[in-house]
Amino acid sequence: MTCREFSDIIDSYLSGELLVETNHSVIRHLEQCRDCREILAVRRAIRERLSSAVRNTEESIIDSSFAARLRSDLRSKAVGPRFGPFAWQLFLTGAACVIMITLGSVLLLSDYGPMLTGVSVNLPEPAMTNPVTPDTMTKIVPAVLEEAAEDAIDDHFKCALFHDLPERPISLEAASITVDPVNEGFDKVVSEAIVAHLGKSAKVIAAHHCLINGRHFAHVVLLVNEKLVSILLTKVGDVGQQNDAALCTKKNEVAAACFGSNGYGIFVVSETEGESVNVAKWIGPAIRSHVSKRRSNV
Amino acid sequence: MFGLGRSEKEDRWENFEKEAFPHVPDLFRIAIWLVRDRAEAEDLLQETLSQALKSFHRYEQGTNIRAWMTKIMYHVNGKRLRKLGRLRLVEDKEELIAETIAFEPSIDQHLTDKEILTAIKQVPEKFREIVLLADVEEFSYKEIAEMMRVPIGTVMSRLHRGRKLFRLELASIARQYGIFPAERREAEQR
Ligand SMILES: [Zn+2]
Ligand SMILES: [Zn+2]
Repeated sequence: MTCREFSDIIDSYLSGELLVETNHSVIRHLEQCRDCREILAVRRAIRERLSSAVRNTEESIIDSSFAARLRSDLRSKAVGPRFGPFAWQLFLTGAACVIMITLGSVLLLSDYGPMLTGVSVNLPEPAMTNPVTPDTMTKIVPAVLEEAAEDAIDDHFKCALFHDLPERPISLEAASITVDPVNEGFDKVVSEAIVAHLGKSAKVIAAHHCLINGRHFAHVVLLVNEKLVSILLTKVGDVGQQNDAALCTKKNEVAAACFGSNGYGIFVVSETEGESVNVAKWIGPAIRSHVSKRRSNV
Repeated sequence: MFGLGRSEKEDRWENFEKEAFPHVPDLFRIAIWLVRDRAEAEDLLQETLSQALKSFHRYEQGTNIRAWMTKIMYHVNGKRLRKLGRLRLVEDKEELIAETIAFEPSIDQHLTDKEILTAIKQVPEKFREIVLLADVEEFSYKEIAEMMRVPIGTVMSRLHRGRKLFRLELASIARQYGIFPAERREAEQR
């Protein structure tokens, strides 16, 4: 093979599109031609740079709320306008005492209204855009929480958004028996606390127990003002005196806020820091009391 | 789990969800580089997934589902373009230009992502889309030929030209920023 011949097929070589025999002659040529090795390295670098630039630019990244809507629209088309594969578990939990209305395929949180007479009156509408106060930014977050926050963010993407988990989630009820009693009623506690602050602008779209990177999460997925928010709870061990909700980690355009309670970490993952921290603050008291009542005896 | 009235529809949906949804971010990226508008890309993706769901029984388990869905996307987009009377015409001018330039620029790590994106956007659509399908999405030549309904030879020649045009654009940007003075000297000496 000559250098000229090689230069005509470099890209096909990189794409793995050559016949086995041609591949062999390319390798033989490269072994004895430094110029072509250099050209090849440059060509490979260009391709890698193009791929990462196109993949990482914001314009190439799907909007998470659009993805959530897309999924629920398709689901209603496929199985009719009922709850999604996970939301029906939530239905079972609350069905006895709650009047349910379906709207599209989501469960409106406001349907918990009758149970909360008097609580949902004070709705702070623009609260979701509250800026993060400086003191929440500077709080020191325990390492165990920070570590778990990475998994929480992974779960937000792989489970809530793209349904890309190696194992199917199970119901919170089932998990409360097989994994940890703290799972039971987690969705109800979360939805009540959220509805008290946000009223109809928040909807629960799924509640289940899922496993990611070897970590167990009780997981409630909310749609808040068309944006996806995950609330996750997992056992982390001793978290010391971490009591207030604070920003924990930011990754892939989402922010996780967290707080610890009785050996558990609670994470709120959303697109903005302020939103994550606010939601974490709102659900804090209710979840702490839930955890102290239902936690496994460690 | 509880085995309560799980219908065939639900099984089919779950199967589809499991197979198709992990590829949604990739499909969105393909869509937006195809139509260059977020709202249109979202419509295109939605229509593509609806179609894929409808014809899911025709998908052969174990084959490349991402390629299968991209093929549907091209089909859907073709219909959309025809409706809008915007079907692209084959322009041979760029091909001629690409063919006559022999200059082979080298590339430097100083280029930013922004410059790389500017360069790829300068490449005419017909070549750009195929370069992206091959070099970013990593579809095989055969898969691309099936998606675009063109012979594999056409895929190869457009790719060859598209990649070259892209390298030329990169070189031209690099020069504007004075990154490759040596390269430039070399080119001038030829
Ligand atoms: Zn050589
Ligand atoms: Zn989950």
